[in-house]
Amino acid sequence: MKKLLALVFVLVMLLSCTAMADDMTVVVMPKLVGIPYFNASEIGALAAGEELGINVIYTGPTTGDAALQVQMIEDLLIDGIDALAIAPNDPDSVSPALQKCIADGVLVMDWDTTANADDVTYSIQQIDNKVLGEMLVDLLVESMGADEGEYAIVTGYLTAANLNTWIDYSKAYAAEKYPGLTLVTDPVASDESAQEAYTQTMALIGAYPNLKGILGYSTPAPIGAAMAVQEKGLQDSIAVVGTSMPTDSAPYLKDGSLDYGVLWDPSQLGKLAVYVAYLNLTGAEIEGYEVPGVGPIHINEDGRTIIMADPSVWTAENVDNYKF
Amino acid sequence: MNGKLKRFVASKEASVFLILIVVAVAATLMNPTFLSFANLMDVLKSNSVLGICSMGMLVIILTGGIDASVCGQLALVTVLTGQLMLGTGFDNLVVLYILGILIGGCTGLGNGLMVSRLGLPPIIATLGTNSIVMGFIKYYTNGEWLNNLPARIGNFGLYKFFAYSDGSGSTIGVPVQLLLYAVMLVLTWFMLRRTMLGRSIMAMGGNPVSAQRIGLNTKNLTTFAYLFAGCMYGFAGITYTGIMKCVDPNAFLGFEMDVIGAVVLGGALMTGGSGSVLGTFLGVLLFAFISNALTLAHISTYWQKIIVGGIILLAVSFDMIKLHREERLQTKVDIEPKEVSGE
Repeated sequence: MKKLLALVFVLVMLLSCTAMADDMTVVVMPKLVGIPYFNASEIGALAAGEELGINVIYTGPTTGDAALQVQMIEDLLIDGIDALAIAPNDPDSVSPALQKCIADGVLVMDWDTTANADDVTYSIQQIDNKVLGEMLVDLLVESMGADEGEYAIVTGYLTAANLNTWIDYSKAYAAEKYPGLTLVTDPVASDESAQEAYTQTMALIGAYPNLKGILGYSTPAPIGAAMAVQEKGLQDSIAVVGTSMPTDSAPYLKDGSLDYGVLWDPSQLGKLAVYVAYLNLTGAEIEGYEVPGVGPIHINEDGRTIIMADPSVWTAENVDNYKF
Repeated sequence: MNGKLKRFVASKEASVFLILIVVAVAATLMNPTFLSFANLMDVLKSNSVLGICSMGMLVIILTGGIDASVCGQLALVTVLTGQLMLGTGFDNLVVLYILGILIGGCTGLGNGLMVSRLGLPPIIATLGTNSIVMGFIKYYTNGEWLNNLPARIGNFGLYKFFAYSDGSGSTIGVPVQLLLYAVMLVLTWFMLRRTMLGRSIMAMGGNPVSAQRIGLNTKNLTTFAYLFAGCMYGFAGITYTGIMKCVDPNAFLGFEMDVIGAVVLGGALMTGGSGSVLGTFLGVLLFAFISNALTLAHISTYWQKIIVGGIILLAVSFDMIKLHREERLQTKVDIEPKEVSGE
């Protein structure tokens, strides 16, 4: 009886091993879970897993903490995974953990936010950072109705690489194309919280009475800035433009406190990340592959960067057409 | 110098007050906007939620405890009442406030019972509560904001007394949140200073063993402290929704550190028994002023965090140095080591 049991046990083990080898496991790790933006990308990533018949794990820390990401990566490595797509909270902090993944033969990519170039095979980006950074400035100038005046920047975390990249492109572009625009102070951090963005914007409005525009980076920042502008009744004298989720922006777009919201569809981004991992692991051709609902994939000249699409702009008129 | 003034100068509140004055003067020199009525009112409004929560935290810290579940309790109150408003269009403010206080009271009571009856260390009990509540909130809301709340709650949040328009479209006045905060300050002060209950809590925090010996029911007192704090958070939660006009389930992540920070800045001792409503109020003001003043002074965000940390350390070490000095001056008769606070 014991022998029989042992035999069954061994057989089950063997079977589960082969089953696991057939199953491809792709991990998609956001900066944090439980915020609308990353919830939307989760839907896309899981949908891609179902379409392709592979195992997709969507997991991340509950706060935007790089140390927690490192810990989770190490735990996942022990479980055995085939690919990891990460949106790092801090590229340098996660670098050693990513190198460990590479050493273990795991395909490492970044999505949403870039990691260090040496740590990843592919870099899935939602938009061209330069296009977005410049677009925000153009929209701000349009809403201000003048190409001169004081403006301020409210950002998420000061260490977030993607936000800093956009801010750098925006600043450089503003300085070159609209020399009349003056940035009043260094970017102000709002810790990815609308309340903090509101408090900081109140202070900015007090500190700079001639403020004409606010650029918000990270999805809660423009909302918080718009709340402050609305409360002060300055809808007509201060323009607010930033990256925001359409459903959260709708009330502020409609009362004029937020002039433009700019973003992409995060669910498509999650989907694209899983498709690229799948294509690479199965050895298929990535360039030109048509991802359902997203479009053809194009790899940049650096052989690494994949850019999804041009950003979408929401206004008071079109915002109700978006459902995320 | 009369006796009262002398006592104030020697008190902890005085050192906080001194730093507050320095910050205010420096900020005003850098940017006169700081002392403007409009700016001060904005600062107080933005920090009224912090202030109300700090009243609850103060009472807990007086018992020698600590509450790491501020975030969870606030999130629970705002999400549940927000759902009610969204689902039914219910907008009776008085009932909403009562509901908020009840919800906060329930979680607070849970914390209190765990600490007093089960004897769990406060940090463990409240961390556990926080984790459970936040897990539930995440599951229930998936982090989605609750938008389009009834107009009445938003209008209430915008209400100002003695309001007048300054010509550029802004309305200046005393925000309703300031009144709410003031009521809670007076209520807490009255409870701590003028009732047997409050005096007993202070006595128990100072020395739990003696308190028990003189016949105080320390278990009930401890439970009450957490219950009281929960009710304060509930009150603060509804006030918060009024200011923000929407509910973000993740809005309070890390907020407990601000609340604890403000109470400690205000001179309360983490070991219990020592701390005051006035001190905590000054602590909240200092906390609020530093961040506002630094932005007004056109100081870059990168430096702000360093300066805030520096001032906290400075304020607390100021206190500790004074305490050590006093201790040295005291004649020691009792060589028995001090009892560890708690149960």
